[in-house]
Amino acid sequence: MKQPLLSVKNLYYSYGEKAALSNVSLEIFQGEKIAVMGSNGAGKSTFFLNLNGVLKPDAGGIFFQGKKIEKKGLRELRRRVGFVFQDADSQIIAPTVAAEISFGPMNLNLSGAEVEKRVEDSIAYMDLGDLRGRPPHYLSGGEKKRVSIADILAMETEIMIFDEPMAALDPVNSENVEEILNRLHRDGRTLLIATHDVNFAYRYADRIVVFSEGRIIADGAPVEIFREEEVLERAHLKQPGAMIVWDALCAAGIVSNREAYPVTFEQAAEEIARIGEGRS
Amino acid sequence: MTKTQKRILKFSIAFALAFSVCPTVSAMHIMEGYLPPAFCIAWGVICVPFVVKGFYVIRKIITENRKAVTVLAMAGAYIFVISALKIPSVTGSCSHMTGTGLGAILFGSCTVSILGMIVLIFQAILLAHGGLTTLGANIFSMAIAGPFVSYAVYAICKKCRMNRNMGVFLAAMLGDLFTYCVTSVQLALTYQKEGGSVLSSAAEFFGVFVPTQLPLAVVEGLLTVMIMMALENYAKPELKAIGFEKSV
Amino acid sequence: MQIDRYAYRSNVNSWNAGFKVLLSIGTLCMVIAFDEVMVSLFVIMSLGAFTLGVGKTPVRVYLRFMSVPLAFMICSGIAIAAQFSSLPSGEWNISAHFFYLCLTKSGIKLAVQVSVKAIAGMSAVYMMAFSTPMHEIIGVMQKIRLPGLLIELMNLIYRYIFILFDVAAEMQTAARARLGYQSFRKSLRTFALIAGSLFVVSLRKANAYYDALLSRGYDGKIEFLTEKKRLKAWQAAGGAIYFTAVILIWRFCKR
Repeated sequence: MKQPLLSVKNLYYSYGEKAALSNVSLEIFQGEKIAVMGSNGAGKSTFFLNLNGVLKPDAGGIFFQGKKIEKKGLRELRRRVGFVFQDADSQIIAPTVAAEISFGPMNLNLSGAEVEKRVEDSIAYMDLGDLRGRPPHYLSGGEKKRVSIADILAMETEIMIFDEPMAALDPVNSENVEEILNRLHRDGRTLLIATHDVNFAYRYADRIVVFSEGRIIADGAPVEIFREEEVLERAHLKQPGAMIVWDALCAAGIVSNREAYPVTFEQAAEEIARIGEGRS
Repeated sequence: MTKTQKRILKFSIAFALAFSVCPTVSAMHIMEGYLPPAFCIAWGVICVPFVVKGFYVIRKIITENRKAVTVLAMAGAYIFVISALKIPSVTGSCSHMTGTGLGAILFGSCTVSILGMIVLIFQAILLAHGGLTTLGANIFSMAIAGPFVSYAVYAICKKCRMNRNMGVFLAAMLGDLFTYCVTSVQLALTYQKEGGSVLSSAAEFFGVFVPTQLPLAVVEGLLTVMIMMALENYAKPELKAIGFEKSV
Repeated sequence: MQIDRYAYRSNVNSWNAGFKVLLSIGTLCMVIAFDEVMVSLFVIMSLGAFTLGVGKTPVRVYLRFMSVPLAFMICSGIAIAAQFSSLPSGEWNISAHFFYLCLTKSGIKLAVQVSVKAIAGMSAVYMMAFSTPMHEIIGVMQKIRLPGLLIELMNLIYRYIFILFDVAAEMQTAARARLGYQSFRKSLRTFALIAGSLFVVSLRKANAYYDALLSRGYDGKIEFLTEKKRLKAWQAAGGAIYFTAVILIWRFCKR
């Protein structure tokens, strides 16, 4: 069997009295793009901070390529797993874009030339060339987001975690971010993305993990997850629009192949147009 | 609004009417170039022990708890922002030092001396409040003397089991007034009149600044009380986290 | 805070930061030490021309910044020039029933002299502030070996100031929208409430920011890659000539 890149076994974490994660287990494989869903306060962010080595689990273990990460090795975890925060402002600390991107690599104790190379690569990847000398605190929301992604990109971690990457972005900027996420996937990165956007999760992810009250209540392919009404209800989720439309078309007997869910609205529209042509 | 808050508000209205408060300026920062070299250096030297002490206190806090570094930095930023924030229909563009009094009560005077120093450097460069050559004098009056008095007054009031709000008010107001006395003395020492004593010169400087400073000190005291009450209302866990225990 | 924005836009921004700091502080020290009206006037004119002409800082902005301490100057100017006395002992005396406000020629001269010196000092500092972003000034402080902890705090505080200003501005707008500043009394209350919640926000953010630092491998040291700005020979020569000119003026006037 294929070895998971990162696996979490029976993880527990609590803030003082309040349990935030209980008995969470998950295996993440190389090259996956996983959407992590669940209502606010379900434990997604806490889970991510544990994966990233910022929080220390109360019990349970995290294994990287089969090797257990000891409590002392949490720093090691931070080299392997990068975390793009939801609010870019909470991440950005440096006076210029280039300096900002260099912060992570500098902490990895790389040589000056290597840091410079990584900063250049990330700037090129995120198309930040024009902004390199600018102070991040004067940038727009979408630009800040790109900088915060470049920050983590420059650390060249095996796994990248995004906490609600589209939050507070306008449609064009969220489309840009989605494009970036697609590109990262094509380039072989392993991605974990927390999101509330069911349509995005449905069309983008190849696997969805659902959190509720500190536990994982479902884990599987998008179509399967979005069919389980109980799960959707518990996690305060809705069915994606494309599925609702398709199910309605099936029920009305217009389409027959129920399993062939369209991934995007555009696909659904094409499909429907084709059926219409067939009829006329 | 609680009863106390109402009472304070009533008092502040009466006060405002009586003095027709409209302080538009901060006269507390000694401006660039106002002190001759010997005084610049002397005040700087006087600050050294306090600043060094503050530095060690902060370093100890941070070595014990790394997490404190962002909290301290936020506190510094908070002092800066609060002092630069305009209060529409109360002040024009005044930089009031509410922040340091509050900081002294919350974090202790040693910590504030370092944070205050950094804030003063930023104010001098970014806002033209104060100056670089007068930094020593300004640090002494605003980041050391004022907060020290605030902290002491607050501690004494707490010991005497005085009403908490009264204690905060006195601490902030007296700290403010003391800052301003120190500033007057600093100027008087520099611009001593022929034949006049330092004291009479100080009284003169005190005199010209009184119309703006006295009402400002009272407003500052009131504000600090109200901020503390607001904090008590919805920031108890945060107050506990920074080690500010609830007294009496 | 806008001054930082203008610093980024300044034509002199590309100059070596250490050089600009040296030029500014050096001039400042000379102005204070020489205490000579002609030197002060020369500095006001030359550095003003430099900031406005070479740096291309907008005149309106420059004047606004220079006038910030005007009130302080007027107040302390009066205190320096005048003397309260029971006898009319000055050249000009204003009676105020119980005492006299006495103005002496020497007092007025001193007040003017001090004011000119103060403006010259400000010109020197603002030459730096309008051309050098704050983080580069902090970088220079780091080079002269100020303790790392202090530098780190300064960098973080500077960054957080912007965040808190944004939050505060939003809160104030929201408060204004709900008529929070209609009267003196409401203003005070609103201000206190904003200050209180700003405090809470700042502490909560502080925790989140620490997590963000950790997740990027923070280990007690904040370091960035900085872009190097080289000092050009003609700039250095210009600085040297400028210092010499100031000293010459001082020698000449002192006689």
